[in-house]
Amino acid sequence: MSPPCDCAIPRLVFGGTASGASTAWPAANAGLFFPVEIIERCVAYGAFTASGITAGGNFDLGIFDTTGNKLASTGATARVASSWQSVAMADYTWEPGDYYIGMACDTTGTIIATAPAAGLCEAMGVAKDDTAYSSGLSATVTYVRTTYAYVPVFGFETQSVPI
Amino acid sequence: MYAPAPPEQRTSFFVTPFSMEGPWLEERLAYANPTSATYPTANLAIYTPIIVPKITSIARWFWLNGATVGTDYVEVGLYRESPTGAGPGSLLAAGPRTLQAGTANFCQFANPGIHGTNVTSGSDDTDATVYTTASVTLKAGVLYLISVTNSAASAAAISSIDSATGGFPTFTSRSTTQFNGTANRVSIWSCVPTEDWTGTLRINFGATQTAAVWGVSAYYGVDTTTNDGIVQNAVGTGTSVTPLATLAAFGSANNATVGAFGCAPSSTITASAGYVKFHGVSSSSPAQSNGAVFRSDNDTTVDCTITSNPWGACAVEIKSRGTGPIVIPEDKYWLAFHCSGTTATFFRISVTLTIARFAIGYSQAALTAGLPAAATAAQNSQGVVPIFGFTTIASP
Repeated sequence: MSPPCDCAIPRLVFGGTASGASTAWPAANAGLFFPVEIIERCVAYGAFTASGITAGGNFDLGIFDTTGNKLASTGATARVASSWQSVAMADYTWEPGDYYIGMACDTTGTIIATAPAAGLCEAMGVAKDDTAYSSGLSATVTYVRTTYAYVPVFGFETQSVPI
Repeated sequence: MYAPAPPEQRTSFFVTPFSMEGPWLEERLAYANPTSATYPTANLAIYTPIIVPKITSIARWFWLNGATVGTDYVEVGLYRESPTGAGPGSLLAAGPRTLQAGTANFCQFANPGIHGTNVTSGSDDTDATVYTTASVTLKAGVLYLISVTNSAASAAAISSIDSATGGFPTFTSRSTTQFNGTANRVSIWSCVPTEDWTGTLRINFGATQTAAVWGVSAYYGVDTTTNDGIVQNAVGTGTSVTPLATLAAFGSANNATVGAFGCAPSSTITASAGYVKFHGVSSSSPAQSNGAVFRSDNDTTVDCTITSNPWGACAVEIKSRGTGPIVIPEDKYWLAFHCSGTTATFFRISVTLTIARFAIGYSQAALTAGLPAAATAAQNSQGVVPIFGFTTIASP
């Protein structure tokens, strides 16, 4: 479950043909939030991202409701340069509904990302919170209109479960 | 063997021609990323098909501004599928006509509000007590206003508006005044059909008139509970280049303004800044004109411009249903985009007409009054698809 995947809506329709590249996180402590719509019950048991070439700093990957309450996250995780980073998390049962998945970093270290124009990100429903990170993703965040041309590679590993 | 039903698809947060509801998602390799550019043709509507998979609330309409913001008006709407499957049919809902503003290169949002558009207009120079419009289709729950200018030695008030076709909606007088002495009269009547109806309307007078000129307009997003949604009216008369009726303070910032003007002899009627003209029609013998203008927000000074003539003016305030979400069922629809000029820029893709026709199919030109009540499908004339649509959540 990630911004460009088939299960998350919208898919990464703008900038989707461009390859991701190691790109500085837009601002220290900023979080980016992508709307996803879960269409069947599943369990999120892990998360992942792709770190860029610069080591250092921490990130957190989380699941939020549409009003900004954190439902689950990996917790603060040290970033390793140029690595695919899978992060275990406590199982979270994801019921069908509307959510945001979010990523925040405490430095401007690099993440593999694409860079569609900020307005295109906004038109896909992306939101931001410039103070989302405080020793990890905050328990509540405030969605504001994004000004960042930035879509990082990150997401959640899920397994379908019967209702 | 038991096989569970596939999960129910949900509607995107931001529904656009490029979201999973639209035709462009799987075609994304066929175009480069959207860029800022001017709208190709003033008063062009672009229709693009979408499938809404689940009952959905339209929270806000939106489009993605380009590098140049301002001067032109934008409308985003949603049309029903034509009953014959021939493309877009009747208008279901549309955002208010909105001046492009805000921040360049970012989304601009428009809350649900009142959308107005023209339906038909006409004139008849004959001496008669009854004047008949062209056939019109009136949709249930939509406010319709008919503005009329008529003439006689003492121009009579309309006695009723009805039809030879049964089941016609009830029309009520909302504003009227004689002008040019007693030789002419301008009036506004309203109706809100309780069910869809199609037929010709008869404008009836109690005495013979020498001519009549009329126009019918439609308004969506109106709270029609009381007086068909008409909050107040005002009239004015004079002889000058600026017909004017002055309304009192509006009851809500969301309410809209409509003006109907008559003048004699006839004149071109030009809408004032912020207004869109729905029609301007004249009779020749005797010469007189009727015009209607609209803006989706408040304006107590309801005026227009004519050549210097005797004039009469009627104005009404229309009550908005508010900015709450519009609920639509799952179905096939057509998203529609309209811009009044070619100065403003938008993020859009540009592809060959072949691809545009494959994935979109329809556009409609020369819509000076904005998105119409009923689309007239024509093969797409532009290989341009702006980023526009509606949100289904209260996004930031």
